[in-house]
Parts: sequence; C-alpha cells; structure tokens
Amino acid sequence: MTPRRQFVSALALGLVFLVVFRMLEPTNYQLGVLMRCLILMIVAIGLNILIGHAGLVSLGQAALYGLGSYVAAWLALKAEVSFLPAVGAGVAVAALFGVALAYPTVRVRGVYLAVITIAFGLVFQNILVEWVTVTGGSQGLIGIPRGQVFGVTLARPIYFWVIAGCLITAFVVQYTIIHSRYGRAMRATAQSENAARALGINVTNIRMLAFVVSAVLAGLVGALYTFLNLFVNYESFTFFHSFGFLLMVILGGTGTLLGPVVGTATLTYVVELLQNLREWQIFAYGVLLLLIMFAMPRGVVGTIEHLAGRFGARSVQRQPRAWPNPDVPLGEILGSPALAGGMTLETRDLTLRFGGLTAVDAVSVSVRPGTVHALIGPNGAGKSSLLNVISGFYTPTAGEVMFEGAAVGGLASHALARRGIARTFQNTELFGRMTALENVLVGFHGRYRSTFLETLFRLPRAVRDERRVLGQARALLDFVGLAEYADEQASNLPFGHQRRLEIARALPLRPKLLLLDEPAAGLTHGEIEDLKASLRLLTQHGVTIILVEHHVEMVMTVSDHVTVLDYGEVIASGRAAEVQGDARVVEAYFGTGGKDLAATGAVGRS
Amino acid sequence: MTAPLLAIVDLRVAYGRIEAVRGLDLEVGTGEFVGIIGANGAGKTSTLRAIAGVVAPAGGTINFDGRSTGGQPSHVMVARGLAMVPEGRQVFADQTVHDNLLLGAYVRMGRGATGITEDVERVLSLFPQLAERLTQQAGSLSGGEQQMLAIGRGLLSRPKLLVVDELSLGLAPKMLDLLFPVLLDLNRQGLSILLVEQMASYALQVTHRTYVMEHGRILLHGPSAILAHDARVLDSYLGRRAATNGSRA
Repeated sequence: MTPRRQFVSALALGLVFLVVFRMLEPTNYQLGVLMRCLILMIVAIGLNILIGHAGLVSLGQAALYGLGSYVAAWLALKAEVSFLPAVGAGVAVAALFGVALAYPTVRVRGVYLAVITIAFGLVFQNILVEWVTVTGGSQGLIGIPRGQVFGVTLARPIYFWVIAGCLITAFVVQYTIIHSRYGRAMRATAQSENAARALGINVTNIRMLAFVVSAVLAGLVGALYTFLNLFVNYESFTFFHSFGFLLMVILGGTGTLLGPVVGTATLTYVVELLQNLREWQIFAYGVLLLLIMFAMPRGVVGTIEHLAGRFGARSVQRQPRAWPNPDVPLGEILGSPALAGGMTLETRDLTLRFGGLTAVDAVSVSVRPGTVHALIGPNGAGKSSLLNVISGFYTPTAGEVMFEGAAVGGLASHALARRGIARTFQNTELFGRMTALENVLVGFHGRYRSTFLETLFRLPRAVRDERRVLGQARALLDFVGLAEYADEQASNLPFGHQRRLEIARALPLRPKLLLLDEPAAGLTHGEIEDLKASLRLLTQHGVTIILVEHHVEMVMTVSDHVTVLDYGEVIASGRAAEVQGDARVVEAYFGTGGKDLAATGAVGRS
Repeated sequence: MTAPLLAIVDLRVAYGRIEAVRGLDLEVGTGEFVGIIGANGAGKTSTLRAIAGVVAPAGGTINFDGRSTGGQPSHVMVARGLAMVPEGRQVFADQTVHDNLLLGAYVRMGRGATGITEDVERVLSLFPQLAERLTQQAGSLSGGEQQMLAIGRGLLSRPKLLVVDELSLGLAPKMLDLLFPVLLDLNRQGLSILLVEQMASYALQVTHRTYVMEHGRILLHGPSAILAHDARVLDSYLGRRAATNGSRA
C-alpha cells in the first residue's frame, strides 16, 4: 500500500470509528476516557515527528503539554479570557519553550538531550507546585469555566468533536510534514548531519522546527485538556507522563504514520483494563510492555509494516544503466552558470592545525572555472582536510578562501552549499534509511520557493514546487543510471552505486564548485570510464570540479591541473604531465605504480 | 586429492527483493591465493558476507575446513579459522592500535592464550609503521596504516583463510606497492587468501586463480596469468575498453 493510500484509509477508518462510537451512545465515563485518549494521541503525534523523524528524544513533553494547559487555565480563570484566545496563548507559550528546548541541540543530542529535557520537566513540575500565587500550588487551578465559542458552550458532546477535529488535523499535519521537504530534511539531519549540512540544510533550524511543531501540538491539546477537565494540577504533567508519551510513540512504532495513534490507544485502554488488578496493575503493565516489544521490536505498526514489506515482495534482479545518461537535459536542472572571469576558487596560505598537528600548511591553490583540478598525495597528506576547510566543515587556522572573488573562509557549510559549493564524502554519507529518490530530493531542499506555511496548507505554489522537484529528482537518478533503484533504500545499494547517488544528490545545489572525495574508490575500470565521461559532461555544463583521487590513470586523463600535497604542503603543481615526471612526486606518491609486484615480494622492507 | 579449504556450491544470497548472488560455485584450496573481480553490484561483497556468516545464505552450501558452515554466525566462523579484513577497514577508531590487534585475538583468549605476544610482534615486524603508533588511537592513523592494522588484526586470530575485501580502497599507489607484496609473502608462508579487488591489474599479478563475477554469478574463472590475457577481462577490467556510452549510441 502506498503511503498516500495508507493515509487516506486510516483517516476514513478513524472517522467511521468516531461517528459509530458517538452513535452507540457511550456512557459519560466512556466518552471521557476516549476524549483523553484522543488528546494524548495528539501529543504522541508531535513527539513522533520529533523522535521518529528528527531523531531527537524528548523526555520533557509533559511539561510542554502542561504549559499549554496552565496558561489557558490561568487566563480563563484569573483574566476571564475566552476559549479561543486562551488556547491560542497556550499554544504560543508552548511554542516559545519549544524553541528554547531546541537550543541545546546545537551542543547535545541523544541521551544527553534526553537528560536536558528531563531537567526541564522537573523544573517545570516544581514551579507548578511551589509558585502558589499563580499555579494554585499542589491543589492546582479549580473551577475553570467551560469554553464558549461564538456563544456556543462547549459541553461534552460538542467538545468531543472539537477534540476529534484537532486530532484529524494533527494527523493530516503529520502526513504533510513527513512527505514534505521539511520531513525529509529532518530525517536527513538525523541520519547524517554532515551530509545534510553539505546539501545546504541549516540543521539547527530544522531541529528547532521539529521541536516547535511538537510543542505546538502539545500546547494545543494541553489547553484543550484544561477545558475538558475544568481543573488542572501538577499531577497530570510529571516526568512519569513524559515517559508515558515516549512509550506510546515507541510502542506504536517510531517514524510510522499510525504508530502514535495505535501506541496511545493501546496504552490508554490497557491501563483501563488493568485497573481491576489493583496492586498487580503496574506489574501486569510492565510484563505486557516487555512481551509486546520483544515480539514486535519495531513497535506494533513498524513491525507490521516491516513484515508486510517482506512477504509482499517478489524477488527481482535489477540492472543499473550506464551513466552519464546523455538523454537527460542536465542544463535545465543545473542552470547554466555563467563562467566568471576570475578564479572559481583561490586559497591563500591556507593553514589548518589540530593541536600540534598541522594538517594543511600554507596551501595556495587557484582553481580556474570549468576545469577539473586534482588534489593528490599520500594517505594522510591533508587532502580531505583541505576539502573540509573549503566546504566549511573546518574553520581555517590561518589564511583565506576566496570563492568567486569573495572571502568565504569561516562561513557555515550549509551557507557555502547554498552559494554553490557542493561535495561528496570519502566514505559516502548517504541517508541510509531513505530511498534513493528521497536522497536526491533532500538535495533540492534549498531550491523550493514555498514557505513552511504554504507547504502545510498545500497552497498551489508548494504543490507546484513539489511536482517540479520530483520530476527533476527522477531525471537526476536517470542521469546516473539508477532510475530503477528510485524506491530502494540507499543503504541496500552496492557501494559503487552509492557513489553515483551521492553525486546525483549534490547536483540540485546547482554547484559552481563540486568537491569529489575519492569518487573512483571501489569502482572497476569500466565504471571509472563512465565516471570520467560524467565529469567531462559536468564541466561542459559549467561545473568546476576539485577531485581528490588515488586512481592515477583517471587523475592523469581527466584533470586540467594537478596539485600534489605531502605532509600538508604543496610539493608540486601543474599540468598532469609535468607533475607525473616530478621526482619528488614519484618518491612521495607514485612508487612503481603496481609494476612487477611479484618481483618485489621479498620480506624485509623497513 | 585433498578437499579444498573452502568449497561453495550454488550459493544464493538475497536481501528482501534484491537477489545479489544467484547460484555461485567457488573453491579455495589450502595454501592457495584466490581473487574475485567484478563490477559493483556483481555480488562480490555479498558472497564474502555469506562466507563470513554475516548474512545467512538463501540457498546453496558453503563448506569450510571440511565442515558445512550451515549459516553459522561470524564469531563462530572466526573461531573456526576464517578471518575477514572488511571493506573500508572498520578499525575500532577510538581504541589504540595495540588494543585493536589484541581484539583480533579475542577468540583465542579462552584457550590458554599462548603466543599472542609473539603474534603481535610478528605483525609489527610485517608492518614496522604500526610499531611506531602502537599507543595511538586507530582513528588517527592514515588510510594505509588502518589497512595494515585491519590485516594485522585479522592475522591475530591465526586464521586458516584470510578474506580481504577491497585491499586498495582509497589507498595511494605507493601504499599498494607495499601492501600487495605483504599478502604475497603471507601466502608464500602458507596462508590461504581470498581477495576481492577492484584494481584487477594488481589482483591478477598476485593471485594464483581468479574468478570474474557478473550479475551474481561466476562469468569465468581460471589461472590469473591466463585471465590477464583474456579479451573479456582486458576489455572490462584492465582498461582496454571505451566508456559504456560509446556503444550505447
């Protein structure tokens, strides 16, 4: 089932369930349990975007939920603010704290981030109890008036549909974000931060967005909870509740569309059922969790999807096409960068030190536009370090980098990427759990004109953007001969195809300068011939290339200029033929070039 | 005639929908140096993964040292005498060079653990550069030094068969001049080696026999010295071939 059909059928089923449930005339108690469950589902959906897509674990979600709840409660009770503005204020305050919580991700992630969010939750809980004048202390705020909208009092039967409407909206929002450039950027950032930055994604902003989305959803339903319960106190917003939200997401299956809904429903109703067990309740709850997670390690929905994927599959054998595919209109995608008169890239006395080690030592190179400029040298000579400085991953210790005449040394890598410096990585940094097509789509992140809100509301410009980009991304896959692999998970591709995919992914940036770090490593001779043809085609489209490579034959035939590094210094620079004959270069780098290996096989090298 | 050290019959490996190896036969005799060459996606690495027990074969049999491997997990295969030097080295980057070597001897630790110090010394005499860096973190080594370490780590399990995946990957030409002869020496001292290599020009010089893989099967095999003059090998792997687009029109 395609994600779209899955989404539409889930939505339809959900609606049918809600309508049937209402028609069966549930007791007040049953209605209350379901309404609370729907509210928790919305929090879980927000947390799922954060954990399952942005890869950020928050154990402070109950505090954001509580913020929305208390802000709305206080405004309604003490300032007699009506329903809609009170809810709006709850959302706004929660969103603000979402931004604040996102800030630490600049420095910490994983369990360390989880600890920070726990701390946030504990501080919040303590404030609720101790700031008695505002929060009512451990008693909380009691006697909140029912919400009213346009003169209609939101009594339970109507309020049920308000909450259900919010859940459906949250579900649609989740689907929209997941399948937009923002969702892809979140997953990309989570899977390889370096590659995301190299594709022009501001990873801090993307993480902040994920936090804000989850905070808005938590704050919204916090406020809704206030007008359902009509009193609030700290006991609904403890660390235990934050932990519960995490369980709901994990139990349902992180990153899946339906996971948070299924996980929340399971846990809510399990608790209801277990209430008869009295003192053995927590024991049974724990055992049940153990059993489910052991049997379904990817969560309920995640495991079902995984099994369906395996059983539904037929054995296929696909052949990659040769590349470059000359039928692809590359010019439309790359634009036609006008070749500037000056140098594309110049470094002046560029130096990079790590502690006492000098990785790049006063290197000055000039790269002419539209050429292939090779950097060669022994392993550890500083070639990759130089690439990392040029692409903004390292800040130079001294010296300057000039890109198209402007000093760019020290700019952030995503900013350089957007200016047109694209790169690949020595050990390939694909987004392994995304498909080949999605990998290329991430490369287009900076090429959308539509804003986040346009995307969220599916306004025409956002729809047009997505359609245009999808077509171009498929064309790029076709260009590198991987069209048939579009829906294959990137980590399943053979190494050589991963290298091609990485180049295809860099091209949406419309690179003026493309940095290739050992693109021929692991390729056979025939594949290297294809690579050479591709590089020539790219330079014809105005792309300037810096090539780090050990495959001597390739370097010598494809490069216009060769610079040789050894111990971080330039030891030779010139046209291929000039460098090839240089005695120092032969000594430091070429050796015999693999001639008469068998003859040199005597033991006793020193 | 003695049974080969490694005998693979009709091996199949599949990942979900993709069938990577589709009926492969291959042998490595005791003391032999065998190479596999082939394009990306031909199924070379998948074959090695099946031999090393990293993936369970979807079909076929693998016999190692007289017994079936029967999909045994990799730690069992290492204990049985099969050492893998993985693609991309995979050294333990935040442990020292010395610890990386000792980890190679992990399967021997329980069995009296004699001779480990001597074996470390032997590796260090093979790669004197490593001796200078014994207390450094492996992640700080250059690519060539990491490859030496990966080989050394493999040797410390005292393997009967050393499996090397992409010796040349990302290494400078001069480093290859040094590493290929080391494998040759190890083989001459009696170690059986199975080498997967993209640089066919190097591989064909050092190996006794070579298998050429395409689309998950063996396309041809024979003595390396003869294959080095085979037209198909010359065309596809030794650089007498135009880019594929030349013939596509």
